[in-house]
Amino acid sequence: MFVVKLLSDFLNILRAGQTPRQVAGGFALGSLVGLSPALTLQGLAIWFVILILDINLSAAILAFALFSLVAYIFDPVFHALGYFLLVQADFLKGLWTALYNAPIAPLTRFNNTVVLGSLVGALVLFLPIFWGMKKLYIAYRDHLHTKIEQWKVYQIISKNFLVQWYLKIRDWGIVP
Amino acid sequence: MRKKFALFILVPGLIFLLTLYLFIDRWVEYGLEYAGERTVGAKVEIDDLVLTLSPTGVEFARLQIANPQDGMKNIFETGKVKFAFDVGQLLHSKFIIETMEVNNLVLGTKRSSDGTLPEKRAERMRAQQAPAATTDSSAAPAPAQFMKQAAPVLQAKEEKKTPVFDLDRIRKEIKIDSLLSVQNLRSVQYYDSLKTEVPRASEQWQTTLAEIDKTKPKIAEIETKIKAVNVSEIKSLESAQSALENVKRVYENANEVSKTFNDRKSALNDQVDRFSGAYGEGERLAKEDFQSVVSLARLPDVSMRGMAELVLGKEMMQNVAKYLYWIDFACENVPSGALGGKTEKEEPEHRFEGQNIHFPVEQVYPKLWIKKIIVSGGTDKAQDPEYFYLKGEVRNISNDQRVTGQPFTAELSGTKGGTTSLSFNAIFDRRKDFPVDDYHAKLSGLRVADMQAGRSDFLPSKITKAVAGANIDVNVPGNKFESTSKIAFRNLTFVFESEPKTTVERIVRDILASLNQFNVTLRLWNSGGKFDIGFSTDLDDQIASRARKVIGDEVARIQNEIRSKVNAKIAEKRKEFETLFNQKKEDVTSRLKGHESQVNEKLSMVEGKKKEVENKIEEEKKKQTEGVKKKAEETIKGLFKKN
Repeated sequence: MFVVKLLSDFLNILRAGQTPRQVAGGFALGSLVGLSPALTLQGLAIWFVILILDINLSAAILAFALFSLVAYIFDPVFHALGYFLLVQADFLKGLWTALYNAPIAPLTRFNNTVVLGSLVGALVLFLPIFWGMKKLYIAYRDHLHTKIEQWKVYQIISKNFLVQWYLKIRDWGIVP
Repeated sequence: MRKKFALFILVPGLIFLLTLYLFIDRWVEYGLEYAGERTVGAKVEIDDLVLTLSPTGVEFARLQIANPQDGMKNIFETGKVKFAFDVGQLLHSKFIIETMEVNNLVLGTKRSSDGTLPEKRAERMRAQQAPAATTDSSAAPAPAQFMKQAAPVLQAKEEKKTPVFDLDRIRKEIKIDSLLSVQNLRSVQYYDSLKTEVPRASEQWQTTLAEIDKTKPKIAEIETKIKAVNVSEIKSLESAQSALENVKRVYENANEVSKTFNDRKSALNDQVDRFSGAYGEGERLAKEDFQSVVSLARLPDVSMRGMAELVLGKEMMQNVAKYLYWIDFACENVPSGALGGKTEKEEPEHRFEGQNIHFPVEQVYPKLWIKKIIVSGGTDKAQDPEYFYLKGEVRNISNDQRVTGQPFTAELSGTKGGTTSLSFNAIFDRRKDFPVDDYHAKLSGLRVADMQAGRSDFLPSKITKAVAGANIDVNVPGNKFESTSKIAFRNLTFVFESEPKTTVERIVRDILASLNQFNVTLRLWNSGGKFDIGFSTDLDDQIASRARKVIGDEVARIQNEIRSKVNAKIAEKRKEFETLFNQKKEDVTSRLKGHESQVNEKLSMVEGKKKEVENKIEEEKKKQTEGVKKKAEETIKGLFKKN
């Protein structure tokens, strides 16, 4: 069911009548949260930004789900990156010490190697993901959309109960 | 900006904030009560808790903590309590309180409802506490459970038997003759064994005497030889010297006989004296026999040690159990904390959960630190004379003393009804590897109105009126325990619930009835894991002195009767041995004397003859000298005549 929902979401995103910037923005911000390992202050802040900004929420949720799944694979890389920044990069020690002693900053868990590594990694990947998604969306809309709509799989998925329910909710205007 | 944002985020947000505003006080109140109940094990009730924003803190109207040992009483209750958090540290999720104000702190108030936790809730809390305790135990040594350690000792004191001390019964039941069996009297056994040894020894003595008798021919020979030397028949110096040589040889023989005799006599006397010396051992055993028979007769110890403990011990032991409960409570609940200095690089707890890197901090704070609690007992006018109202300061309650560097201390004093005063100083030090707790409590002018004394089987009674004072010192370093309590009772009145049934009860009752004051010292300590309780009081001396007067004579009479019967029994056996021994000894002595006189007679005879011969030699020498002189004179005279 989850896989069906994910595919359905993905197709709906691509089909939805929003600009490529909105879809790509939602996807990129969703990737930021998805790559973080746990509930952190910055994670909540990004969700808040996702909810405030007029971007594609489905794309954000999809990106969150996708990147949460793959983030585990990259955890060792994030740990190494975070360890380098926190321990080996001497020029940053002053910054970390100041943040460590600051009132709210410790709630971000920035001093955890995986948290910092994944945040920095996600920020680095933010723009490539944004541009990549934007290109993909334009390409889909211009060349693939009509072809895919004729696929049997697409028709089955689009008639799925969950998808229908989702579309109804979306049409209320609550979800874009 | 999303158009429906207000509907989607703001409205639920506002509802959430409104709910939070309406219910957060109650939630915090419930959270604090729950945490308190988990710690204390009884109901904790907070009334009218309010969170304040400026200053960021908490205040509530009343706090009641029920006593887990008596659900209908509180350990204490307070009036208004107020404190503010350090906002900067609160943002670090640390609860730092500079000063907490606690008003109207009252000890031991009565409750309108039972403060015992419902069984299911208590069980759930215990289950939640168990794993926490296990985790904590890795950081610090497990606290000793003194109450558990003391339980067997307290139980033994509780079950201590009342001494049976009824003189009439003793008089009737004691059968001294049955106690005087040979098995019970070692001195009688000893004299019996001597009686069998004497004939055996006597045989040996006879053998020695027979050996001595064998020298008789030698003595006769000496006599013959010495008589053969006739000094009047000696006519020349040469024959005199030859006679002297003979006498000297006989003298040597006589000396040899005398020496042999003396050696044998000495050995014989030693053997005989061994039996004479046995009387000393017999006397010693006789004394032991007396003590043993007295003990078999189960005559009471007139010192009557432990009577006061029987009278006063039960109530005090119950109080001991109560205060050990609180000492255990402090040991278990004042947190030890973990070492503050964490290493720069820590091993990850789990794979891929990352590694927390720690940086230098400007000032380290523990998770919780109440720096100072100012306790006020309220105004004198409003005080209920039934309860203690405390005032003073409690400092440095924290979850990690190694971080604060300060031990948890309490300096409290209080009064009750204007006459009773209490001071309590305590220090709970968890800064080092082994926790150290020190308490000192001083109580004076405490009116005792209803204190149980005695036991159901021994002088059941009550102290209905008294003024008590106490000095209690407790030192708990790690798993060791040392406590001394000095309690003084003054102006007291005993009320006895029944008539005395035994002599002891009557004596103790008489003492207590006439008593106005007494002191008790109670010492508790554990060494090598074994808990011990020492109870001493000046009452024991008073009871012993009276007991000696009342029953001492009677006990002494029974003891004298036992002594005379024991002595008579021993004397009979001793006489049997003495008669036999003296008879054998007499025989040996008389024979030795006879032989000795013979030896001495012959020796003196030889010495006399020797003297005679020596004199003869001198005489002959003189004669010879005079003969030579005469001859010389004649020769000189002849020469002159020729000329």
